[in-house]
Amino acid sequence: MERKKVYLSSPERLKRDAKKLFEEKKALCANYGFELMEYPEEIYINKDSYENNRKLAEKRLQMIKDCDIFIADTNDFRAYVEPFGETALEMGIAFGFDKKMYGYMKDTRVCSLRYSGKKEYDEENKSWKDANGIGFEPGPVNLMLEYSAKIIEGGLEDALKKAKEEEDVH
Amino acid sequence: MFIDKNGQVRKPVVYLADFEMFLPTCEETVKYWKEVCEKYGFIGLFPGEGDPVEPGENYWQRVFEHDYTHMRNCDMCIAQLDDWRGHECDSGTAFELGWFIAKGLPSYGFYSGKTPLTARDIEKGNDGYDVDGYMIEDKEYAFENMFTLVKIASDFEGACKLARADLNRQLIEHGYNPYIVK
Repeated sequence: MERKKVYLSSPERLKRDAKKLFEEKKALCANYGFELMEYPEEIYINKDSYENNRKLAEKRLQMIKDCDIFIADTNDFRAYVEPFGETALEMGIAFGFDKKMYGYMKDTRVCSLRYSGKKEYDEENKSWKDANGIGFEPGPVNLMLEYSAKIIEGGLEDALKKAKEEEDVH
Repeated sequence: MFIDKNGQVRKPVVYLADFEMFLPTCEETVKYWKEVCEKYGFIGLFPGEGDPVEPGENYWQRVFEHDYTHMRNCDMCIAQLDDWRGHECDSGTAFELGWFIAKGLPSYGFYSGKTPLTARDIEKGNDGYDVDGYMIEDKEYAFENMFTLVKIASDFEGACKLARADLNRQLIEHGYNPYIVK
């Protein structure tokens, strides 16, 4: 039986040991009966031209189109309570292609509780605001992400478990 | 003006993907964006427009549906990609932009910060990596790889200019007159 193809969106592709991490995740996906789609090799190149960069993005766009299951690492990245921007963009792409979507993050408490910057409680509106008086999304991530994907607390394995569980039901 | 999927020439409706709704300057900014849209022959649609979502059960799910309905009713997207609470753009905005890309609809962004990505104020570590050990891509662009799927200008009007140039090329190719920006 052909294994379902998983596209993984994560800033881990930018880590020094990205290839090793990918191999570990590939093995994890295989344990659950899924095939983790291989990124094009050039994704690991640090320095390149805009032209090649764009060609790489087009290949990845096609990969998202071709996947069966889309899994996103929605942990905070270089920001307070915001995931990797590229992952958010890819989640929108996957949603546009009607993919089955999962997200995973270590801490799924709502944004206002996870926010580590200065914040204060607005008694009148019964909600938290940051130092600029700006409120927070109601869930662990922006609502567009929250309502397009199942956000699971934990790591990739927890998302795979959920995906497997749902595959078995169907 | 543009040629829609039914071959009709009309004003495109532009989805204004942004984080302005969180800011006190929202009304003023959106008014300006809509005026600029008008100038370039577009109709700007702000996600917060239309019937307000009534409070009650499943409120946020209904807010999502409200915005998603607006997205489906638009012909193209212009997204505000400036940093939001850190060194990343607003994830909701990026998500919406991604949806337009998947649908093959014209997608643009604007970003007023430094470019390329290596010049941005990310806390640098060693050898082209940040302090958390993530590579800072050095690829002649202000954002990570997948954002190259959209054209990005330095401000909202710049994004409208890019869009108008593309749509005018399409009009000319099909034998129509280009839209003249006043």
